Amino acid sequence: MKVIAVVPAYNESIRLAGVLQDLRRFVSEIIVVDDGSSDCTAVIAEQSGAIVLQHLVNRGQGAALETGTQAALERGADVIVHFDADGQFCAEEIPAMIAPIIKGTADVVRGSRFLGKRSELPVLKRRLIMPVGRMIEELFTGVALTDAHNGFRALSAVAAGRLHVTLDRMAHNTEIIREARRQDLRIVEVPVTIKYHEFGQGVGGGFTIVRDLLMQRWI
Amino acid sequence: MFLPIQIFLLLAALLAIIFGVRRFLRHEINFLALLIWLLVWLAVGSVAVYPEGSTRLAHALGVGRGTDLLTYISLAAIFYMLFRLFLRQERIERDITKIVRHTALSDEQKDGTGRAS
Repeated sequence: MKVIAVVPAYNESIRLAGVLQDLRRFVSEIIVVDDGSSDCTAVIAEQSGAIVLQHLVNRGQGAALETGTQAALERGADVIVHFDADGQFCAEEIPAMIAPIIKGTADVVRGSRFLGKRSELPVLKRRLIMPVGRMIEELFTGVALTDAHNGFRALSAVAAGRLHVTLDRMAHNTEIIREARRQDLRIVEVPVTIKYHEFGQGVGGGFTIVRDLLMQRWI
Repeated sequence: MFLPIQIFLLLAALLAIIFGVRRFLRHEINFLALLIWLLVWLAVGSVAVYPEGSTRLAHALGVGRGTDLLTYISLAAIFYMLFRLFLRQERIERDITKIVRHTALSDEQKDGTGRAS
Protein backbone atom coordinates (compact mmCIF):
# COMPACT_ATOMS: atom_id res chain seq x y z
CA MET A 1 0.00 0.00 0.00
CA LYS A 2 1.69 3.18 -1.22
CA VAL A 3 0.79 6.16 0.94
CA ILE A 4 1.97 9.52 -0.39
CA ALA A 5 1.76 12.73 1.63
CA VAL A 6 1.19 15.95 -0.29
CA VAL A 7 2.48 19.00 1.58
CA PRO A 8 1.77 22.43 0.10
CA ALA A 9 4.34 24.89 1.44
CA TYR A 10 4.63 28.64 1.10
CA ASN A 11 7.53 30.26 2.97
CA GLU A 12 7.64 27.47 5.56
CA SER A 13 11.41 27.20 5.97
CA ILE A 14 11.19 27.44 9.78
CA ARG A 15 8.88 24.52 10.51
CA LEU A 16 9.12 22.38 7.37
CA ALA A 17 12.14 20.22 8.29
CA GLY A 18 10.55 19.08 11.55
CA VAL A 19 7.21 18.39 9.86
CA LEU A 20 8.83 16.27 7.13
CA GLN A 21 10.93 14.35 9.67
CA ASP A 22 7.76 13.36 11.56
CA LEU A 23 5.87 12.58 8.36
CA ARG A 24 8.51 10.24 6.97
CA ARG A 25 7.74 7.60 9.61
CA PHE A 26 4.15 7.21 8.47
CA VAL A 27 4.13 7.49 4.66
CA SER A 28 5.93 5.88 1.72
CA GLU A 29 6.76 9.15 -0.06
CA ILE A 30 6.41 12.86 0.55
CA ILE A 31 5.68 15.39 -2.18
CA VAL A 32 6.28 19.00 -1.17
CA VAL A 33 4.75 21.59 -3.48
CA ASP A 34 6.72 24.79 -2.98
CA ASP A 35 4.11 27.36 -3.90
CA GLY A 36 6.38 30.14 -5.14
CA SER A 37 8.15 30.68 -1.80
CA SER A 38 10.69 33.47 -1.51
CA ASP A 39 12.63 31.66 1.24
CA CYS A 40 14.54 28.36 1.13
CA THR A 41 11.46 26.11 1.52
CA ALA A 42 12.34 24.08 -1.60
CA VAL A 43 15.94 23.51 -0.52
CA ILE A 44 14.90 22.34 2.94
CA ALA A 45 12.30 20.01 1.44
CA GLU A 46 14.87 18.52 -0.91
CA GLN A 47 17.42 18.07 1.88
CA SER A 48 14.74 16.27 3.88
CA GLY A 49 14.43 13.73 1.08
CA ALA A 50 11.03 14.85 -0.22
CA ILE A 51 10.07 15.02 -3.88
CA VAL A 52 9.86 18.74 -4.58
CA LEU A 53 7.55 20.34 -7.11
CA GLN A 54 7.91 24.04 -7.60
CA HIS A 55 5.25 26.55 -8.57
CA LEU A 56 7.06 29.43 -10.26
CA VAL A 57 4.64 31.91 -8.70
CA ASN A 58 2.36 31.67 -5.70
CA ARG A 59 -0.98 30.15 -6.71
CA GLY A 60 -2.62 29.31 -3.37
CA GLN A 61 -3.06 26.23 -1.23
CA GLY A 62 -5.80 24.68 -3.37
CA ALA A 63 -3.67 24.97 -6.49
CA ALA A 64 -0.63 23.47 -4.74
CA LEU A 65 -2.66 20.55 -3.39
CA GLU A 66 -4.02 19.77 -6.86
CA THR A 67 -0.52 19.83 -8.37
CA GLY A 68 0.80 17.54 -5.63
CA THR A 69 -2.17 15.20 -5.88
CA GLN A 70 -1.71 14.82 -9.65
CA ALA A 71 1.98 14.04 -9.11
CA ALA A 72 1.11 11.51 -6.39
CA LEU A 73 -1.30 9.72 -8.73
CA GLU A 74 1.36 9.63 -11.44
CA ARG A 75 3.71 8.00 -8.91
CA GLY A 76 1.16 5.27 -8.25
CA ALA A 77 -0.21 6.31 -4.87
CA ASP A 78 -2.91 4.12 -3.33
CA VAL A 79 -3.70 6.64 -0.61
CA ILE A 80 -2.95 10.37 -0.67
CA VAL A 81 -2.69 12.37 2.55
CA HIS A 82 -3.03 16.16 2.46
CA PHE A 83 -0.86 17.55 5.23
CA ASP A 84 -0.05 21.14 6.21
CA ALA A 85 3.57 22.34 6.30
CA ASP A 86 3.20 24.54 9.36
CA GLY A 87 3.31 21.83 12.02
CA GLN A 88 -0.34 22.08 13.06
CA PHE A 89 -1.13 18.43 12.34
CA CYS A 90 0.18 15.34 14.16
CA ALA A 91 1.83 12.84 11.83
CA GLU A 92 1.10 10.11 14.44
CA GLU A 93 -2.57 10.44 13.49
CA ILE A 94 -1.97 9.40 9.86
CA PRO A 95 -2.53 5.65 10.48
CA ALA A 96 -5.95 6.42 11.98
CA MET A 97 -6.73 8.81 9.10
CA ILE A 98 -5.96 6.30 6.36
CA ALA A 99 -7.43 3.25 8.15
CA PRO A 100 -10.99 3.70 6.75
CA ILE A 101 -9.58 3.88 3.20
CA ILE A 102 -7.38 0.81 3.67
CA LYS A 103 -10.35 -1.08 5.12
CA GLY A 104 -12.40 0.02 2.13
CA THR A 105 -15.07 1.80 4.17
CA ALA A 106 -14.32 5.35 2.97
CA ASP A 107 -13.07 7.23 -0.09
CA VAL A 108 -12.49 10.61 1.53
CA VAL A 109 -11.39 11.00 5.16
CA ARG A 110 -11.28 14.36 6.85
CA GLY A 111 -9.88 15.19 10.25
CA SER A 112 -12.17 16.68 12.88
CA ARG A 113 -11.24 18.74 15.92
CA PHE A 114 -14.61 18.05 17.49
CA LEU A 115 -14.77 14.27 17.75
CA GLY A 116 -13.42 13.41 21.17
CA LYS A 117 -9.89 14.77 20.89
CA ARG A 118 -9.37 18.21 22.36
CA SER A 119 -7.64 20.84 20.23
CA GLU A 120 -6.73 24.10 21.92
CA LEU A 121 -8.81 26.41 19.72
CA PRO A 122 -8.77 30.17 20.28
CA VAL A 123 -12.07 31.14 22.00
CA LEU A 124 -13.31 33.32 19.12
CA LYS A 125 -12.72 30.44 16.76
CA ARG A 126 -14.47 27.84 18.92
CA ARG A 127 -17.50 29.98 19.83
CA LEU A 128 -18.14 32.02 16.69
CA ILE A 129 -16.10 31.23 13.59
CA MET A 130 -16.42 27.42 13.73
CA PRO A 131 -20.22 27.21 14.21
CA VAL A 132 -20.80 29.71 11.39
CA GLY A 133 -18.18 27.95 9.24
CA ARG A 134 -19.86 24.58 9.79
CA MET A 135 -23.25 26.01 8.85
CA ILE A 136 -21.92 27.61 5.67
CA GLU A 137 -20.06 24.47 4.67
CA GLU A 138 -23.18 22.35 5.16
CA LEU A 139 -25.10 24.83 3.03
CA PHE A 140 -22.62 24.48 0.17
CA THR A 141 -21.92 20.74 0.41
CA GLY A 142 -25.14 19.25 1.75
CA VAL A 143 -23.02 17.21 4.15
CA ALA A 144 -23.25 17.81 7.92
CA LEU A 145 -19.75 17.37 9.32
CA THR A 146 -18.55 18.05 12.87
CA ASP A 147 -15.70 20.30 11.70
CA ALA A 148 -15.32 22.93 8.98
CA HIS A 149 -12.31 23.43 6.77
CA ASN A 150 -10.04 20.96 8.44
CA GLY A 151 -7.09 20.57 6.06
CA PHE A 152 -5.99 17.16 7.35
CA ARG A 153 -7.37 14.84 4.69
CA ALA A 154 -6.85 11.42 3.15
CA LEU A 155 -8.08 10.35 -0.26
CA SER A 156 -8.17 6.96 -1.95
CA ALA A 157 -6.50 6.93 -5.37
CA VAL A 158 -9.93 6.47 -6.96
CA ALA A 159 -11.32 9.51 -5.13
CA ALA A 160 -8.22 11.62 -5.88
CA GLY A 161 -8.54 10.74 -9.56
CA ARG A 162 -12.13 11.92 -9.62
CA LEU A 163 -11.93 15.01 -7.43
CA HIS A 164 -10.28 17.96 -9.10
CA VAL A 165 -9.59 21.11 -7.14
CA THR A 166 -10.41 24.12 -9.29
CA LEU A 167 -10.49 26.71 -6.50
CA ASP A 168 -6.91 27.87 -6.05
CA ARG A 169 -7.20 29.53 -2.67
CA MET A 170 -8.68 28.17 0.56
CA ALA A 171 -12.18 27.23 -0.66
CA HIS A 172 -10.81 23.93 -2.03
CA ASN A 173 -11.65 22.31 1.30
CA THR A 174 -15.39 22.78 0.80
CA GLU A 175 -15.05 22.07 -2.92
CA ILE A 176 -13.57 18.62 -2.24
CA ILE A 177 -16.43 17.67 0.09
CA ARG A 178 -19.03 19.07 -2.32
CA GLU A 179 -17.58 17.15 -5.26
CA ALA A 180 -17.22 13.98 -3.16
CA ARG A 181 -20.88 14.18 -2.21
CA ARG A 182 -21.90 14.88 -5.81
CA GLN A 183 -20.01 11.80 -6.97
CA ASP A 184 -21.41 9.61 -4.19
CA LEU A 185 -18.01 9.04 -2.61
CA ARG A 186 -18.03 7.92 1.02
CA ILE A 187 -16.90 10.67 3.41
CA VAL A 188 -15.75 9.79 6.93
CA GLU A 189 -14.45 11.99 9.74
CA VAL A 190 -11.66 10.92 12.07
CA PRO A 191 -10.75 12.70 15.33
CA VAL A 192 -7.53 14.72 15.11
CA THR A 193 -5.68 17.21 17.26
CA ILE A 194 -4.65 20.54 15.79
CA LYS A 195 -1.83 22.51 17.41
CA TYR A 196 -2.36 26.23 16.98
CA HIS A 197 0.78 28.31 16.41
CA GLU A 198 -1.25 31.17 15.05
CA PHE A 199 -4.92 32.05 14.57
CA GLY A 200 -5.25 30.71 11.02
CA GLN A 201 -8.30 31.64 8.92
CA GLY A 202 -10.16 34.62 10.33
CA VAL A 203 -13.46 36.20 9.35
CA GLY A 204 -11.92 37.93 6.32
CA GLY A 205 -10.60 34.60 5.02
CA GLY A 206 -14.09 33.18 5.51
CA PHE A 207 -15.60 35.84 3.27
CA THR A 208 -13.08 35.06 0.52
CA ILE A 209 -13.97 31.37 0.77
CA VAL A 210 -17.70 32.08 0.42
CA ARG A 211 -17.05 34.46 -2.49
CA ASP A 212 -14.93 31.85 -4.29
CA LEU A 213 -17.60 29.18 -3.78
CA LEU A 214 -20.36 31.48 -5.05
CA MET A 215 -18.38 32.63 -8.07
CA GLN A 216 -17.31 29.12 -9.06
CA ARG A 217 -20.36 28.45 -11.20
CA TRP A 218 -19.86 31.64 -13.22
CA ILE A 219 -16.22 31.13 -14.10
CA MET B 1 -31.43 75.43 -30.29
CA PHE B 2 -29.26 72.76 -28.69
CA LEU B 3 -27.44 73.32 -25.41
CA PRO B 4 -23.67 72.60 -25.35
CA ILE B 5 -24.19 69.44 -23.24
CA GLN B 6 -26.70 68.14 -25.80
CA ILE B 7 -24.23 68.68 -28.65
CA PHE B 8 -21.48 66.99 -26.64
CA LEU B 9 -23.68 63.96 -25.86
CA LEU B 10 -24.84 63.67 -29.47
CA LEU B 11 -21.28 63.74 -30.75
CA ALA B 12 -20.20 61.20 -28.13
CA ALA B 13 -23.08 58.88 -29.11
CA LEU B 14 -22.26 59.26 -32.79
CA LEU B 15 -18.57 58.47 -32.25
CA ALA B 16 -19.45 55.51 -30.02
CA ILE B 17 -21.80 54.10 -32.69
CA ILE B 18 -19.14 54.48 -35.42
CA PHE B 19 -16.58 52.84 -33.09
CA GLY B 20 -18.98 49.93 -32.35
CA VAL B 21 -19.82 49.33 -36.04
CA ARG B 22 -16.10 49.36 -36.96
CA ARG B 23 -15.31 46.80 -34.28
CA PHE B 24 -18.20 44.63 -35.54
CA LEU B 25 -16.96 44.88 -39.15
CA ARG B 26 -13.48 43.86 -37.96
CA HIS B 27 -15.09 40.82 -36.26
CA GLU B 28 -13.89 42.01 -32.85
CA ILE B 29 -17.38 41.83 -31.33
CA ASN B 30 -20.40 39.68 -32.20
CA PHE B 31 -23.77 40.87 -33.44
CA LEU B 32 -25.39 40.71 -29.99
CA ALA B 33 -22.69 42.93 -28.49
CA LEU B 34 -23.14 45.39 -31.37
CA LEU B 35 -26.91 45.42 -30.83
CA ILE B 36 -26.55 46.16 -27.09
CA TRP B 37 -23.95 48.84 -27.86
CA LEU B 38 -26.21 50.50 -30.47
CA LEU B 39 -29.23 50.42 -28.15
CA VAL B 40 -27.28 52.07 -25.31
CA TRP B 41 -25.91 54.87 -27.48
CA LEU B 42 -29.15 55.42 -29.37
CA ALA B 43 -30.78 55.82 -25.95
CA VAL B 44 -28.10 58.36 -24.97
CA GLY B 45 -28.65 60.24 -28.25
CA SER B 46 -32.43 60.24 -27.80
CA VAL B 47 -32.14 61.56 -24.24
CA ALA B 48 -29.78 64.30 -25.49
CA VAL B 49 -32.22 65.41 -28.19
CA TYR B 50 -35.39 64.92 -26.17
CA PRO B 51 -34.57 65.18 -22.42
CA GLU B 52 -38.25 65.20 -21.39
CA GLY B 53 -38.49 61.65 -22.69
CA SER B 54 -36.29 60.30 -19.90
CA THR B 55 -38.39 62.16 -17.31
CA ARG B 56 -41.54 60.65 -18.74
CA LEU B 57 -40.04 57.19 -18.64
CA ALA B 58 -38.81 57.84 -15.08
CA HIS B 59 -42.31 58.86 -14.00
CA ALA B 60 -43.79 55.78 -15.63
CA LEU B 61 -41.36 53.66 -13.57
CA GLY B 62 -42.03 55.57 -10.37
CA VAL B 63 -38.73 57.49 -10.32
CA GLY B 64 -38.85 61.26 -9.69
CA ARG B 65 -36.53 62.63 -12.37
CA GLY B 66 -35.09 61.42 -15.65
CA THR B 67 -31.55 62.10 -14.49
CA ASP B 68 -32.15 59.95 -11.39
CA LEU B 69 -33.28 57.08 -13.60
CA LEU B 70 -30.15 57.48 -15.73
CA THR B 71 -27.98 57.43 -12.59
CA TYR B 72 -29.61 54.20 -11.39
CA ILE B 73 -29.22 52.56 -14.78
CA SER B 74 -25.57 53.70 -15.02
CA LEU B 75 -24.78 52.36 -11.57
CA ALA B 76 -26.35 48.99 -12.39
CA ALA B 77 -24.38 48.90 -15.65
CA ILE B 78 -21.10 49.73 -13.87
CA PHE B 79 -21.66 46.99 -11.28
CA TYR B 80 -22.41 44.52 -14.04
CA MET B 81 -19.22 45.51 -15.86
CA LEU B 82 -17.22 45.13 -12.63
CA PHE B 83 -18.68 41.66 -12.19
CA ARG B 84 -17.71 40.73 -15.75
CA LEU B 85 -14.20 42.08 -15.17
CA PHE B 86 -13.90 40.08 -11.96
CA LEU B 87 -14.93 36.89 -13.78
CA ARG B 88 -12.47 37.55 -16.57
CA GLN B 89 -9.69 38.09 -14.05
CA GLU B 90 -10.59 34.84 -12.26
CA ARG B 91 -10.45 32.96 -15.59
CA ILE B 92 -7.02 34.39 -16.26
CA GLU B 93 -5.92 33.36 -12.75
CA ARG B 94 -7.06 29.81 -13.46
CA ASP B 95 -5.16 29.77 -16.72
CA ILE B 96 -2.02 30.96 -14.92
CA THR B 97 -2.45 28.13 -12.41
CA LYS B 98 -2.73 25.62 -15.27
CA ILE B 99 0.52 26.87 -16.79
CA VAL B 100 2.34 26.94 -13.44
CA ARG B 101 1.11 23.41 -12.65
CA HIS B 102 2.10 22.11 -16.07
CA THR B 103 5.62 23.54 -15.61
CA ALA B 104 5.98 22.04 -12.12
CA LEU B 105 4.80 18.59 -13.26
CA SER B 106 6.85 18.49 -16.44
CA ASP B 107 10.00 19.59 -14.58
CA GLU B 108 9.41 16.72 -12.18
CA GLN B 109 9.10 14.22 -15.04
CA LYS B 110 12.25 15.56 -16.73
CA ASP B 111 14.72 15.40 -13.88
CA GLY B 112 12.95 13.62 -11.08
CA THR B 113 12.38 16.83 -9.18
CA GLY B 114 9.91 19.61 -9.80
CA ARG B 115 12.56 22.22 -9.16
CA ALA B 116 12.54 25.02 -11.64
CA SER B 117 15.98 25.60 -13.04
